[in-house]
Amino acid sequence: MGRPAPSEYGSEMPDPELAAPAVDPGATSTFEPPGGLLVWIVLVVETVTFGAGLVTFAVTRRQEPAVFAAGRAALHQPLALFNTLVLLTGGWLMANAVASLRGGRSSAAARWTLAATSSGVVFLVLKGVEWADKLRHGLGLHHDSFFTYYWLLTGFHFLHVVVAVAILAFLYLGIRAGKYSREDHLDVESGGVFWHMCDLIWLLVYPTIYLLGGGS
Amino acid sequence: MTYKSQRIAYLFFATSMLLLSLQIVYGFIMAFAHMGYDVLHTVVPFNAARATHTNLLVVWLLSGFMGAAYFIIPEEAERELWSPKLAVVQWAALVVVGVIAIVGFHFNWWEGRKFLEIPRPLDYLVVVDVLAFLLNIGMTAFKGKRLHTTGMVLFVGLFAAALLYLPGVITFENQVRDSYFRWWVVHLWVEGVWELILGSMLSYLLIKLTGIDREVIEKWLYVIVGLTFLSGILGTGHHYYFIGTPKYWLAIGGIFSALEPLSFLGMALYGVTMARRGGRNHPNKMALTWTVGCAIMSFVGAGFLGFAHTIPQVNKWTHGTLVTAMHGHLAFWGAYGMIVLAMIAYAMPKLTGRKRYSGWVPEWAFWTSNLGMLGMTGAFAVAGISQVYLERKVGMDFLVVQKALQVHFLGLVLAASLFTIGIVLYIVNFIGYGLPRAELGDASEDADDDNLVPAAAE
Repeated sequence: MGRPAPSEYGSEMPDPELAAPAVDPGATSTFEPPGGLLVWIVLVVETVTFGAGLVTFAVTRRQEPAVFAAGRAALHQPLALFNTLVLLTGGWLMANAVASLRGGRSSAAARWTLAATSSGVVFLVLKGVEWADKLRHGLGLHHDSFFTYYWLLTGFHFLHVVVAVAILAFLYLGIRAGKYSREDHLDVESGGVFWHMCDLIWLLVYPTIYLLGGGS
Repeated sequence: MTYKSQRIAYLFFATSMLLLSLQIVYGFIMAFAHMGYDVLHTVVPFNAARATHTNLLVVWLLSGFMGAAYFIIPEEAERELWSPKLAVVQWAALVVVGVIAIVGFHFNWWEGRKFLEIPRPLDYLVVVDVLAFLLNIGMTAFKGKRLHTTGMVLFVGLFAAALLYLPGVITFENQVRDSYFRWWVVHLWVEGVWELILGSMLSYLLIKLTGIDREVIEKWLYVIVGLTFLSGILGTGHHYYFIGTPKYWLAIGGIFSALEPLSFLGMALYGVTMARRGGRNHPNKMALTWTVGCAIMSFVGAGFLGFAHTIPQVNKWTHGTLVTAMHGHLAFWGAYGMIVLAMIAYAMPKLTGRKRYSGWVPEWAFWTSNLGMLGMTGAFAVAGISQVYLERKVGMDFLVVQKALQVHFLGLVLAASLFTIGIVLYIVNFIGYGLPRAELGDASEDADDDNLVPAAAE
């Protein structure tokens, strides 16, 4: 009875009743986008979810245009614009990190990753400042439908940036420890894709909440 | 069977079979009551039958999960169970608590909270029992040579299920608050942590039955299960639509519930693809049939039929009608009933050394039970849609509508009879396996236990 060679999992014991492989188990060519297929599935599901949230936001705005116009007027536009630029810069920093690693320049890659991580932290702090201001003015989750969606959408996005910052911090430590190289940097690319996803989603959330919708 | 202590699983599997049979009996009592033949009303009133039916479901599934854990964890950790004695005590305690609870329902000893009817003192016993169970498999995993992802996910799922039992133990004066946290138990079990248990059992069975690489299965299946799990957490919102919670739950519940079927679809497609791609033939075809069947039926029952009334605009009409029973039956059967039966179908030949997995009995057990359950789902759907129309659109009185629906329950009883035939065949086959044999569990034989079976064993 054929038994496969021990995998990296050690002495794997398949069920002894299994017959020998009828097909070559090595013949598993899968479509591999940068960062691996898994993170792209996450990306698609996330985009669809946020998309559904933004559509709900837009539909509610049509039903309550006055409430939404007033809500939008209460937002701090310069701060939001600046924060958007911070996030975009973060994406650029991470792209440089991946490029450096591909070029075999590990120490540069570590510095770029650290910079990208910091940009994420700056975004979170500024978002915290914006939120604190809203709370001070009594514009909480239950204020009106605009602010319900404002908190839900920016809140979910915030959580994603928190996760991304944690991932980037781990990658930074990994790159410094020499875990990744020119040949082996799939994790860094995956983390990068997740980080870019935070940009992408923000670039949908930002105009929908802060810019669009007449009034004011 | 590789380890002697895996035999403990048999106790739990046998308990599952017994409780499943009882659950079906109570189902029939209610179906006949719906038809107008509420003959047992003085002995088993509808509310007691309902509580018994749903609680038996939960306990037979939990018993099946525990049996599965006692079978899988030693193999994943590559050692004997930490304490087989504790496992037997824990099993006995589970049975005692279960019997007291079920008998108690018939004497009006219960909490009037849907699905969590078990009275408070028994709640504490359940907690102690589950802690003993977790301690046992936890220590086995901890002391083992290694723990594969599958074993890890199974343990985390069971641990989280125990943790999530606690919100149901807290009492609130306010009805909305009480319901709010009650769903943390009910919903976050079945559309949350139980999915981890389901995923790990599915993954274990696919690895064992198809020979596909553990690495491939574990990487993908857990992403899919993870998506189901994550969408399920905020999907709790679909229970909050009209119970007095803030309005934003309409949006959150709607969006995240809408995602749930996608990941169930992923799980079904992946399960089928892997089973085909494995390319190796395992003689226990029925175990694979149940496994793949589970992946498909969980999509149909939990994913598709769940989606059928999870959107607020639809749920506004269907909330708390027989449409829920339609979804509930196929979802529990497809996702959790079938995975337990798949596990038992796989484990029994290993435990007893007998190979009763071919022939008409196990095959008909699968097909009649599944066709019967689909028929029941259809009957509930027709009854449910009629109920929504008459009661909520036309505005007829609840009891007048119930009378009009009686005819649909004839269809339900017929389909349920077909289902019962399937389950009887399954149990006949289960009994035919006999008791597990200790001499099979000897790790030094390198798990080739099937070669040890003399042909005369049949």
